[in-house]
Amino acid sequence: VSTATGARAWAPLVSERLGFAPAPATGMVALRVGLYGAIAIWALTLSPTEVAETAALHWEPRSVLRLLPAPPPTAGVVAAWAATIVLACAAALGWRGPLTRAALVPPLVLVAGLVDASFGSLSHRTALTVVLALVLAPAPLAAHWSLDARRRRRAGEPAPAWRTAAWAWPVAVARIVVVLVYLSAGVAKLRFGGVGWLRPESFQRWTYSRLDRMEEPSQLGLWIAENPALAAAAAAGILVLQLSVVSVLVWPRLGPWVAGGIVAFHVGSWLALGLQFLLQAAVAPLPLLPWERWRGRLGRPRPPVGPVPPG
Amino acid sequence: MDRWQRTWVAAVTGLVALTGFGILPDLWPFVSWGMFSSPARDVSDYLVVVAVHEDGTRTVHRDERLPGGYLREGYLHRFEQAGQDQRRRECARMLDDLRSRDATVEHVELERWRWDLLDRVGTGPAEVERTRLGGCA
Repeated sequence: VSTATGARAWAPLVSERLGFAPAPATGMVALRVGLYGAIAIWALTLSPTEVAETAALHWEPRSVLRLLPAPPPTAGVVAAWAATIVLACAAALGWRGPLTRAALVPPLVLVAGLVDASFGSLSHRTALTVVLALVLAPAPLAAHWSLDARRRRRAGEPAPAWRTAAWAWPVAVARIVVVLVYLSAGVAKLRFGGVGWLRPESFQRWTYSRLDRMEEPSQLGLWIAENPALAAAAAAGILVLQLSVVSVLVWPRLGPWVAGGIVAFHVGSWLALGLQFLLQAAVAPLPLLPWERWRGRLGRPRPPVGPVPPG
Repeated sequence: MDRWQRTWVAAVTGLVALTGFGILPDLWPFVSWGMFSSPARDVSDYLVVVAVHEDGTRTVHRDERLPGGYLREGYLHRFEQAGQDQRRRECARMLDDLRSRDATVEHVELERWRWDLLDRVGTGPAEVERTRLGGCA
């Protein structure tokens, strides 16, 4: 009984720390615009015919793509690509709430899957973004600063509450997903590499194994690999960053520092090793940043308070 | 947060954790994030595709010219384990891929390249051991 009572006493504190306590809508809006805007921009950088032709040429699907009996035709890939862009833009603008976001999931999974899971091996570049789009599909993200909000205002409906737990949980869940991704990467290094992963020669070998396959290896990567002290510092820095990401669940104020570390890590590994995770670098920081504090500094007035609408 | 939303979020987040920590196998987009986590091997050992052009010149194709999965150790292992028919099909796919980018490619040769990663001369490997695995025209 005392354990249950103790757990109940701790529950509000844990809930607040994890970000499930009532919060202003700012974080939810930033997450919506940032995540779906990034998906639309990422899709625009793709050539759908090239995606279709490459997938058809090297067809060896993994995971969910095994459900497809054959590589999809080019017209189908172009349609899915166009749907991804249109629906991601609509979702970023907050049009038709969860319906748009749910409709986005199948074409997004198809296009991202063809890019990352159709050639006999798995790439991780879009995985976090697709998971966030999946988990946030039913979330209430379009209640403020959205086309849905404008439609309600024009229909004379009262404005929704500005601060409520309904706007907090999507950001909290996205933050937990981001933490799990980086923490699992750090734990894997301890589990499979142990102390050996921190030795400079281990990082040098990883770096050379990438750079030696490039026609024009990165000078930054070569510089790090040629200096054991730099290689050891880079390995330690990566491990510390990945393990410390979990700190944002205990001290949310560390969010901007952790977000900065994540961006620096991805930009650095892109410049040094050619590991292009720019979509993830754009998306992962979104639930970690103090959007309401930044909005307050701009001195914007808060929208009026009202009931919570569905969606 | 409705009950069904809570169930959905718990299911997706649970899959992220179970696959991320390697408890369940990869089910993209739910993947293990353990890449680059084991200590790197002493030697690099992978498949290289050499395009031979009509004028006899040879172009070595590395990771950035072909899908990443092609040139990794796992692919090399699968290629070596494959039967003759499978090897021929793989070689034909690579030839098609290279010809679609450059019509002057006459045939391709597949080579296994192996080198000690820390044995360096300048910015490159000191010595690369090359073994011909096959080819197709």
